[in-house]
Amino acid sequence: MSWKDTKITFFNYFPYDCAAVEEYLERMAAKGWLLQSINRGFFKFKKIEQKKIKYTVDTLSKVSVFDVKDSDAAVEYREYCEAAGWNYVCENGKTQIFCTEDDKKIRPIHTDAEEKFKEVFKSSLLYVICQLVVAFMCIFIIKSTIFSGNTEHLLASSFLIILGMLMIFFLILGVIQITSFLIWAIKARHQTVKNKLMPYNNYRQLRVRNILTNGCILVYIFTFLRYSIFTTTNKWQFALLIFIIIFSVVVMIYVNSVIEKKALIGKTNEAIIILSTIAFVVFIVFLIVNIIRPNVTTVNEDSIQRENASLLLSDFGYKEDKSANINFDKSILATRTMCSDENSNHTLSYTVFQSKYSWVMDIQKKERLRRFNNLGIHKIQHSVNIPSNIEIFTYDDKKSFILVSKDKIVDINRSFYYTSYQEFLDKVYKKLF
Amino acid sequence: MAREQFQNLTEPMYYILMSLLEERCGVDIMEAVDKISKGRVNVGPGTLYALLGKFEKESMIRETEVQGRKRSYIITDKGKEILLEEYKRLISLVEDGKKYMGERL
Repeated sequence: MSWKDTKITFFNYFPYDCAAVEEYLERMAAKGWLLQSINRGFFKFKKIEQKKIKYTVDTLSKVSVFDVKDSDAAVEYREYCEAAGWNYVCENGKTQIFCTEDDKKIRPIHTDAEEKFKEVFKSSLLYVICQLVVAFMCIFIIKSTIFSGNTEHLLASSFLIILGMLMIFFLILGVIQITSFLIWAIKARHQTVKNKLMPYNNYRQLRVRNILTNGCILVYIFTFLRYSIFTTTNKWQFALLIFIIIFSVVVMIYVNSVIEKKALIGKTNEAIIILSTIAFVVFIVFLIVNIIRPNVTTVNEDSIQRENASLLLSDFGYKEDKSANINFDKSILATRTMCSDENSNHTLSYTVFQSKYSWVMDIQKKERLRRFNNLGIHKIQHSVNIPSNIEIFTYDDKKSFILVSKDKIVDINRSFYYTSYQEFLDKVYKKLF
Repeated sequence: MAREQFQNLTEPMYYILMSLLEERCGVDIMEAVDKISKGRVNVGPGTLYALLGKFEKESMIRETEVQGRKRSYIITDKGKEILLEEYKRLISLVEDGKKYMGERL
């Protein structure tokens, strides 16, 4: 983004990317942009005449990420650097940025490679540990939902699909960043032992990593919007959701800026930031769960629901005590209708899973066959009235059946024997296919 | 632990400790190191700041005066002992070298 005299860029970095950020800032100065400030990856530049400026991007592990701006330790450190001829530019968390236009006479800020490695390693560690915790949480959630052996609920719910994608997205980001850190740490350690010059990531490497991460963010935002617009039945609900998210982000930024300006005691500051972040995340998740989930069915969905739940106990000549219990879920990938109809002696319950994607159908079929393997599930001959492209499986002494067509799976259980299974299947086919 | 970490002082450590035989503030230390080593050893402000923190933690130096944000330090007895040990080690290195290399070079 750039206006007349100001330019704002997004450039995500970790403390161990210091050399890459230096190179980036020097390139910008050569193009006539002077760094003004950095706020969470957003770099603000001012237009100047093109010139050669030497930057040092330094980290101070002593400064906590929860500290207010211009903490005593940081100010003291700056005085040391200024005494050595460096001009202080700005700070961002643990990062302190200095520059000079005369790099020949000036002494470097760090003259001991090992001390610098220790500082940079210590400062990066907190960020990497956070990434690791997030990555493990994602793996745990992905494992317990996608690889649980029961994906029917997941595939039929847009909310769970969005959540799953968010987890995969965080996992990819985490893996990219953790790998990058490990490669750097091992290489740098190795070089320090050999007393050689320490390699820090250069601008090109950081740019590749940033393109990958920003690509992930864009893909996620795009799919999130696409799925939300597609599945939210009420458009105003969606607009409200977007409005509330933007509003919360603005409030969050305002709270942060107030905290930064007022010098509160260290621990209080830490607690306020952690608590407000948790409250913010909980609030957003609560909103997504309650607003994005469609709670009003459209005419189209209503007809699918009626069609897929049309088989009732009365079709077999039994009286119904109360109306059947019907649950309907729909996502961009599939729809699922669950129906259970019972009277005092008999029950009929079934799930109709429908999807136009063959891979989704494949997963569902395999999962069901695996799940009922212990109950002796086996394929049976076709009834005369059912076309041969529908596969029929049964288990539990012909009380339960699974009918699989190209785009529909019907998983049905009955508690009554009096109707022969052939006759029962004919009815199921006639009503549900 | 501290003893092990500072068993062999690096050049910057050696010169910083030497300069603190007199009370000095951070900026003065950089200049003093330059002067003592006749410009051969260069201690950057980042390195100096990190090392002063370590020395203070290990009670090898202590803070004497705080004027605004300007802190002054001086070496402690423990620091002197470590510095002296290093000095003796270096002397013995030189003497061994003199004896063994002198005849062969």
